[in-house]
Amino acid sequence: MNLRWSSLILACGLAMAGGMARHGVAQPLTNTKYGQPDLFRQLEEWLPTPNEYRTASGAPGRGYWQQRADYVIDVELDDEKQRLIGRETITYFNHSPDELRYVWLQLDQNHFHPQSTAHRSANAPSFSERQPIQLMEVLLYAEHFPGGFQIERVADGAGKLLPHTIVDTMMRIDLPEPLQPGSSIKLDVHWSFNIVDADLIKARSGYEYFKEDKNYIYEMAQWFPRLVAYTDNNGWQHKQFLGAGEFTLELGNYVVRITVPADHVVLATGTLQNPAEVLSDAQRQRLDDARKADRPVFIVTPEEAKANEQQRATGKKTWIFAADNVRDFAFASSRKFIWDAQGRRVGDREVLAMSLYPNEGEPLWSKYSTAAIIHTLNVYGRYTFDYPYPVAISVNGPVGGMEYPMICFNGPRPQKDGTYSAYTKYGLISVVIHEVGHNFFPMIVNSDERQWTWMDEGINTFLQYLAEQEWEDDYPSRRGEPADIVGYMTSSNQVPVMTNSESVLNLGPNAYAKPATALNILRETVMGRELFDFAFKEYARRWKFKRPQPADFFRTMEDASGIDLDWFWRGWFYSTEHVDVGISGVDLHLIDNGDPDLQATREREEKARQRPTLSEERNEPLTKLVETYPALKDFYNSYDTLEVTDEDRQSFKKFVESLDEDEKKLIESKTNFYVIRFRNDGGLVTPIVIEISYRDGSKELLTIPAEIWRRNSREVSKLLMTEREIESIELDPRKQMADADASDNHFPPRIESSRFRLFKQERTEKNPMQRSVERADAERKKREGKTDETAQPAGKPETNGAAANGAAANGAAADGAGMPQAPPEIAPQAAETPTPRGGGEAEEGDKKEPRPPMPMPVDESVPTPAEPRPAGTPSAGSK
Amino acid sequence: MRIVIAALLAATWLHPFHISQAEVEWNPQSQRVEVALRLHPQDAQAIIDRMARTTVDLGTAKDEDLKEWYSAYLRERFALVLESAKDEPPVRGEFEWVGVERGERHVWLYFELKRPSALSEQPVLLENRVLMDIQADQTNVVLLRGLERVGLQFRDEQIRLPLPPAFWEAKGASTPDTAPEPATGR
Repeated sequence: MNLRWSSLILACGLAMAGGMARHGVAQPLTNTKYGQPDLFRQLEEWLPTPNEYRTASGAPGRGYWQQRADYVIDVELDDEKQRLIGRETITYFNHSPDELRYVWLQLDQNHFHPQSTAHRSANAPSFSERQPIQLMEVLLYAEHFPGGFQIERVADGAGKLLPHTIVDTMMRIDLPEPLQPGSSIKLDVHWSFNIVDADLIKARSGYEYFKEDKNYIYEMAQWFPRLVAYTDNNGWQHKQFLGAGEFTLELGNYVVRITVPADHVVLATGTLQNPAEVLSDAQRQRLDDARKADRPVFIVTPEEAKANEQQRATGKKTWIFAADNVRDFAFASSRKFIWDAQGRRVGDREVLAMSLYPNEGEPLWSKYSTAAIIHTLNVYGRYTFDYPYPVAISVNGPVGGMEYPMICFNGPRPQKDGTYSAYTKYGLISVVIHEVGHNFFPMIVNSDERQWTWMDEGINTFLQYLAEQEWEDDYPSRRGEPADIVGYMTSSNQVPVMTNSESVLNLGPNAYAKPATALNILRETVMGRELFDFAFKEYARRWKFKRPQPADFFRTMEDASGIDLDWFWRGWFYSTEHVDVGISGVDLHLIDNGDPDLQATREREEKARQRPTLSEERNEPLTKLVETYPALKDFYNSYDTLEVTDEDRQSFKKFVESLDEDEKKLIESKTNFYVIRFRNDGGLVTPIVIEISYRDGSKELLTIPAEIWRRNSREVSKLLMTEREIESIELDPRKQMADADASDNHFPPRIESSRFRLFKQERTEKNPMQRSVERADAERKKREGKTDETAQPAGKPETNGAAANGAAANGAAADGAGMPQAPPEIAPQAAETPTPRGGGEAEEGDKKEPRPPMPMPVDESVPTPAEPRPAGTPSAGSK
Repeated sequence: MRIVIAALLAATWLHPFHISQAEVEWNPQSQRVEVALRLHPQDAQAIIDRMARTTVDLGTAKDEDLKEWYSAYLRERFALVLESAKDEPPVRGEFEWVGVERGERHVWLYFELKRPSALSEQPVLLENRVLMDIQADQTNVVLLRGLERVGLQFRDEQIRLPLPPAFWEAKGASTPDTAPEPATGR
């Protein structure tokens, strides 16, 4: 046993070392003298040593620094050839204490070059799942698409050319003189590239071509060479762009001049500086109206957009945008765009929420996009800080969902006929919430996405869930509820959340859902909402416009809440254990006050309760010797071992008199001492939430903190002292613990039926007409076949209607054959079609509660009293 | 139609990653594997839309149609199969539809699978490639009842996995055929 655990700990340790390479992990030595790992061990050993840049409390230190990069960019969009031509002047500020001899720029478009590392290191696609012809089209396109930056020129601010070296998606520029701490330099870069078809290759930016009107939508991002982040804990974060890990960027100010065909509509990160040159009077007036409106106002109406599609303006216009304190810059341009806007007061400022979408997005987009933006700013603002930017934009185009400062790209669209499914509607609202939410994480709380996907995706998904739950009742959130993550957490092929983005096996469940669910549990069960919200807001405040690392998040949450969370981070973020706690037993202890009369009564009752053994029963009628010869009886035949003598009573009386008042009260106490025993099968330690039902009808919900597991993470027991009598206990009644196995969550133990069996049972019960017909048939056959009734054991214990054992859905043989039954009484019921389950019953996690036990034996002719079911046939529009 | 190369670019910044969860249990009396498959309503909608080749309103669709669409889709994608050579089509066990349950948060599909061969000489694998043709980055988790919460994970690269021998030895433990034990006294 020890050996197995040792190797397991060692394996976990090594795995963690891999993921934590940058942090200089110290492994706890394997403890062979106590066959359990220390799950409450403080995390200090794994987290980086605090320093003047990042404190032990999780805040930026007094020496905290970060670089800054300002950009002035001129870019032209070639609508004929789908190309972008640009030049930029970067002013790079070195706020670090280090001398820099070179700087690195990221060239993300190089990712699309056929010779990129990403392309060359890609695994072969799974040919079984795609239609072959279209797959060929995509593969060929990717193989030959001339993607990647063409760097025309790299120079300093004075025009002197600088030597530069391109390494896949990174470029190193060697500086003529080292850049000293506190200084800045100017860099001048000219480039061009071919815009990728983002409809064909799933990309974070590119164009979409519309065959019908021969127009393009351009969603442009990663379109200019930008500074690689240089940080205190990482140096240059220039891990190559392989596709999964996103971006790590510096904050700065941007001025961008975008030249496009004169009839294009453009929105970007930042505010428009020259509206008089690019907007009509009507549009400017509408924008003013929008700022004060309480619902979205069209700046470009659907009709105007439709008309615009037919045009081909010959000239060009230049749109000038300025943005302060942003880490990136994206824009969208098209002549197909409808544009709506609505102003919103945030704190003491006004924010303009806007959406751009073609007519293909109607009627869904005008109804939901801008509304979702505003909702997001409200909800996220409450949990973090007021949205600090002047605009928040959502654009519809080829990209499914991607975030940039102040602007995001979202894909869902209705059908061509304008109808859409609930799927699409909620898909749109959710993705807008999610992408706009990204402004907060990582655009403003500037985490390193290349290294840790979960720090922005997990946190954002958590807030997205909160925002969705505030949109409408029963919003169909896809993640957030603990019960939803259980399946993934128990499955194989997992890596811990604290794994580099490129190495994670299932990025979705791993970096989005699991951390989001963990935070939910932290909020609802471990800390409570008040403490959590305070600590989380403090984290957001501390790291607003700064660059946090995971340790800063872990430390801040503890620091501000007062709750030791090392076990929580260790379990949820560093391990792949899941939650599975079960009740292994309940013992009751009572005070025996020593009163001999009571004791005797008790023992008599117990004796009376005992059933005689089989032999005793059979021997009872036999004639015994002492009855024939009474002389053989003596004292011992009539001696009652349980008789209480006066001596006993005296002795007891003396004992009681020797007690003082308090002691007397104690021994008379009717307190029940229950000891509830729990075992941890899943490994992940957790608070234990139980609901106790007492015989007097009352119920009590108890939350035992996770610290109960600190000495023994496998088995613990909890003492409960109460005057009342416990009737039953349920573990995790509100499905908040992410417990994987509900079969051991009850005391007295309940056999938990599989979901399948329950469904099948109900199907059987829902069809009384069919059953009665079968029964009539069976009776008839019996009469005709003259089946011998005694051949069937009477009262076959088919309890709980479980005749479904192996029987086919129409439940024929088992209940019909040979059971003497009363004529069926059929209660009028709804028609045969399966009634969909609405409401909360089926939605409490992925397990249904089994029915309360039924009396034995079951008379199956009477339909089981079912729980009240929401009435209605499918056509009554049940959900 | 948007096609994805899952290999070239993991479509992960699009928050919609996809996961489905199923419970399977071997029923020795009926000699069938009982499956309860849990899907998000959006995924169920996507399946029906694909099979019907148009948008279907699940609230008003006829049961027989739903049964037909779901069955046609699932029998090819969730089955007990025999190991087969790469270029041979797999031998799939039969599929029997049981029913569907619709809630707001999940759609549950119930069906039974037969083993592809009566004789248990050849190893029988579980194949689960539900939704992998509809969206990229689909993960399917299958929980094996009767075993200590063992979960199998199916992805694009791995659509067939062996079932542990203990799975076939389960005695239908989840059958509620005994009354619960009385509460213990002291």
